[in-house]
This record gives sequence, C-alpha cells and structure tokens, in this order.
Amino acid sequence: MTGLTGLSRNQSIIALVVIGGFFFFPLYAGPFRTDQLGLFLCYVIFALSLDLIWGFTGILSLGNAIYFGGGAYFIGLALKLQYAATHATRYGEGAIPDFMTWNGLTEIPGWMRPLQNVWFAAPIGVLAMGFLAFVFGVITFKRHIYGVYCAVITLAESVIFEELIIEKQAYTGGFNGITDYGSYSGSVHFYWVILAVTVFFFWLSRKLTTTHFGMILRSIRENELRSEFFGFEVANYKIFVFAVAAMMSAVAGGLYAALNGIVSHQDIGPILSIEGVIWVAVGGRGTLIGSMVGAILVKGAQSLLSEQFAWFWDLLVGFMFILVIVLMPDGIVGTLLRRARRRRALAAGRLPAYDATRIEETPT
Amino acid sequence: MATRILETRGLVNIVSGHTIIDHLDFDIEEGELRVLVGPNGAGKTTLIDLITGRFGPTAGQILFRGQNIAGWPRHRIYGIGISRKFQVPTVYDNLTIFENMAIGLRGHRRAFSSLVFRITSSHAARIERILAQVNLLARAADEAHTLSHGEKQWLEIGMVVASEPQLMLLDEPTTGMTREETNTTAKLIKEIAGTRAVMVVEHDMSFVRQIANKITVIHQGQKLAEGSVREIENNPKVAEVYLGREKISAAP
Repeated sequence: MTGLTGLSRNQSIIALVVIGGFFFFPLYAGPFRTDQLGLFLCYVIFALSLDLIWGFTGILSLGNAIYFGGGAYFIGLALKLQYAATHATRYGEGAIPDFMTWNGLTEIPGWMRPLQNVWFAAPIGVLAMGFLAFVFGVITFKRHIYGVYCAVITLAESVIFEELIIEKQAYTGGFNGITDYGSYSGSVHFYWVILAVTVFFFWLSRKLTTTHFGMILRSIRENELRSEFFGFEVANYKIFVFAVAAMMSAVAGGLYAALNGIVSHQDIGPILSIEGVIWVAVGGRGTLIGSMVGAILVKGAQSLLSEQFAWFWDLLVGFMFILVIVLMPDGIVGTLLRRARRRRALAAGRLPAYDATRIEETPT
Repeated sequence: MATRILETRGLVNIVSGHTIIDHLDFDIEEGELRVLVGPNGAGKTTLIDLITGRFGPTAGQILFRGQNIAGWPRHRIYGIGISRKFQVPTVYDNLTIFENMAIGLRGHRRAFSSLVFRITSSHAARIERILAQVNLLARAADEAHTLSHGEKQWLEIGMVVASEPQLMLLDEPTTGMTREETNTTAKLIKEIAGTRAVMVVEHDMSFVRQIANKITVIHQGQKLAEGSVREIENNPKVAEVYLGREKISAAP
C-alpha cells in the first residue's frame, strides 16, 4: 500500500478519513451544498496544478486560468451543441445554440461540429490545453524568462484569452458566456466522479513531486542557474510540468462547466488566475495539501461570508488573506508542517530549521 | 608530454565596450591541478563563465580535448565533463544536504528519465563516501541553509565531485573559511585532484602554496605570468600588478 501511495500508515488513515468525509458528504448535506463542494473540488484540482508549477518549480504563472477556462469552454460548448440538437423546438429550426442565432449564424460552423460529441470534446479539450501550454512554455522558458517577467507574460496571455472569448461572441457566447445547456447539477454520482478525479490528481501530483523528478523541480525553484550548470536542461523540466499542470486545470475546468451549467469569460481571465495564487499562498505552497486546504478554505469562507454579510464579505476575505500572509508566510499547512519538522529535528538532536520563508528568487 | 584537456585560443570577451578577456591563450593538461590568480576584475570568474557556457565568447575558441565548445549550451558542456563551483557558495537551501548531493550525482539528467530514476543503495553509499570526505556526513539529513558559509563551500565541492567531471573549476573555494578549515580544504582538493584536472581560482596565497604546482596569473584579461609558486612570487611584473604590495605573498 505504501508503495503505491507513498504515504505512511498514519497518513493513509488520515487520507482515508478525509476522503470518506467527502464521499459521504452528500448524504448529510443538501443538493445545494453538495454542488457547491463539487465546484470547490474543481478549484482544488486547479490549486494543485498551480502548486506544481509555482510551489514546486517556482514558476509564478498568472495565466493558469487559461487552461481551466479553456477546458471549461470545450465542455460547455459541447454540452450546448448537444442540448441544442436535442431541444430543437426551443431554439427554432437548425437546432443551433441560441447565442449563435442571436449573432446571425444559421448553422454550426464545420470546424465546431466534432465538438457535438462530448466524449470527443473532453479529451480533445484537455490535449489542446496541454499543447497550448507546451507552446507557451517553449516560448517562455526556452528564452530563460522567469520571475516577474514570467508572471507578466502569463498575465497578458490570460487577458488576451478573456478578450478573445468576449470578442468572438458568435462562437463563445461573448460576455454572457454559455448557459442553459443542462448540467449535472444535483447529481450525487457526478459529485463522486469529481471526488475520484480529485483524489487521482492528488495521487499523481504526489507521485510527481516525491520522485527524483520532484526533487529536481525543487532544485530549479531554489536555484535554476545552479541546476543548469549541473547539466539539467531546466527549460524542458519547466515545459513538462507546465503542460501537465495545464491538462490538470483543463480537466478541472471541464468538470466545473459540466456541474455549474454556465461558462463565462471570468473562468478564463486573470482574476481566477490570481485567486488561485491566493489559495495556494494561504494554504502553503510546495505542500500539495496546503493548496487544497487553501482553495476550500478561501472559497468556503467567501461563500459562507457572502451569505451572511452581503455587502462587505469581500473585505473580510481580503482581511483574512492579509492576516494569514503576515502571520504565516509559509501558509497555514506550510507553517504547521515546518513546525512539525522543527520538532522532529530537535527531538533527533539536529539543528532546527530557520523560522522564515526560504523560497527565494534565483539570482541572475 | 601530457595532453591538454582544455585550451583557449585567442579568447575574447567584450561586455558593453569593456574588454574582460583579451586574446587569452591558456591551457590545462590532463590530470593537472592548476591555480589561477589575479587581482579583482582580472577576468578569472569570467573565464570560468565562458568555459561553462554562461556566456558565449566574443571571439576565439575553447577546446575541450580538441573539440571547440565555445557557445555550447550549459547542459552540453556539463555533459562532456566540466563542472564548476560558484564564487559565492551556491547550494539548494531548502533541500537537505543528502538531496543536494543527489542532484549533483551524475546520470538522470533528462526530464523523462528522472521520472523513473531511483536512488539505489550504491548511489547512497557513494554520496555518503563523498559527504564523509567533506566532513558533512553527520549533517546529511539537515537542510542546507543550516550550514555555515564554509560548510556550504564544502557541500558545493562535494556536489561537484558527485557529478564526476573530467575538469573541475573551483571559484574561490576557501572564501569565508577559518585557517583550519582552509587547511582541510587544501587537503581535500589535493585528494580530489588525483584523478582529474582541477582549476582553482584563489586569492589566499598561503592556501595557493599548499596546493599549487603551477600558477597562472591573469591581469586585465591577459596571461601575465605562468610558472611554479617560487617563480610567480619572485616575478617583478606580478608584484607590480598587486598594487601597494611588495610581493604577491603579501596578498591576503
């Protein structure tokens, strides 16, 4: 068992209890909360992917939502096309999506037809996002662009895609997005599918980060120049992990679209990208668990507070964020893990680790 | 006559109008331990940067066993057997000392092969042997930022040794060390040097005297003098470039 999961006995027990808690959640909570938790789990996968590239490899991407939103649009569009085909009377003759009719299209463009099959659209969407990340990765990392410059470039990419989505409204639904396509909302089975995918991606991320490969990623985060002179083609490692993370995000986005029943430009834009960074920072980057906890905590707090304090909840969330970062620069889980490590080191008679965030930018 | 492992021919490096390396012809023989000295700004670190591919030279050749490697990407230069230690000790602070060594270990450089690479007991034994050599075996499980400046120097030397280079370039390996640590380092470098070529950049003349057979003095990007410790110490030209000092032996 430990060979497969890489977890100790105690960790396995905790993992099983947590997964069990999520599994049985729908039996106690109503359909509204179940759907909500399902959406949060999509954000959890999104945060995991961001932790792989930011927390472990040190690439601060402010464009991770491109791949989440991209995956979401593939699925949203596929479901919409399917829905329009089977609900012809609702949209008049032609059986094409309403937003296409409004924009003067009389038939579905040929290139879009393959997407009418959602089982085709899903893998194509994920692969397309992986390929897009590969291309962006080659452009960025082969040219040794990192740090702030990388953040700015990925942010710009995110803005471009959001604008494209709004602009090309005949194909994307524009500002209003794609809605009214019949979702898996209220389906406990679909919630369990999302849960299973989340567990799988956590397992995959752990596999990636606990192997030798993961150690090399961390060395790149610590000092990529040093790694280059040790013979590592750092750009290749970055491109690989960037593409893997993009495909994870795309899967999360696809599940999100299928559950949420609406896809909009916000799912692809910089706001979601930056929110993701906040979740990972609050939970603790480079810990995997931290990013997951961060996503659920922040999204959960946003949702609960917005129900209670309709007009100033976002101030409260912002304040919480500042508080966590000031008091716990390693994030919640990161701080707890560091304290535990410190205790263990002291108990073993070794030197305690420093008491500060030590993830630093690579010197030039 | 021994064969050359490295030679530079007419090497020039110009950075925004300043000539850092000026038609330098320099060579190292197989298995040799060479010390490079020179005042600040002489171009010592730049020479290492050019050899290891941090920059490409403006002109000239860098021949490694007869093959011109000038302008090659860094990982390929590492691949043919050249490793360096940086002037400021550069280790991975948040990785343990053992993990630092494992990164240095030769092999598993490609992204896909590193996905399946596992540290075997023979790798671990090798790492432990080198750690014992650099006096860090007891610290293997600690994170590298807990080390002192001098210990970080040793760790980085250990990582370079683990990468099994044919030619090792050590930039100021004793900076920040006590006299005692410096002596230990001198012994360590002589041990390492037995089987491969090593080039050491250093200011500390008492350290240089302990390890050097042959010294090259660089000044303003050119070779000023080359010879034994005694020859260099008695060379009037060398004394002159170390301003205000009677002889190079008075250098700190």
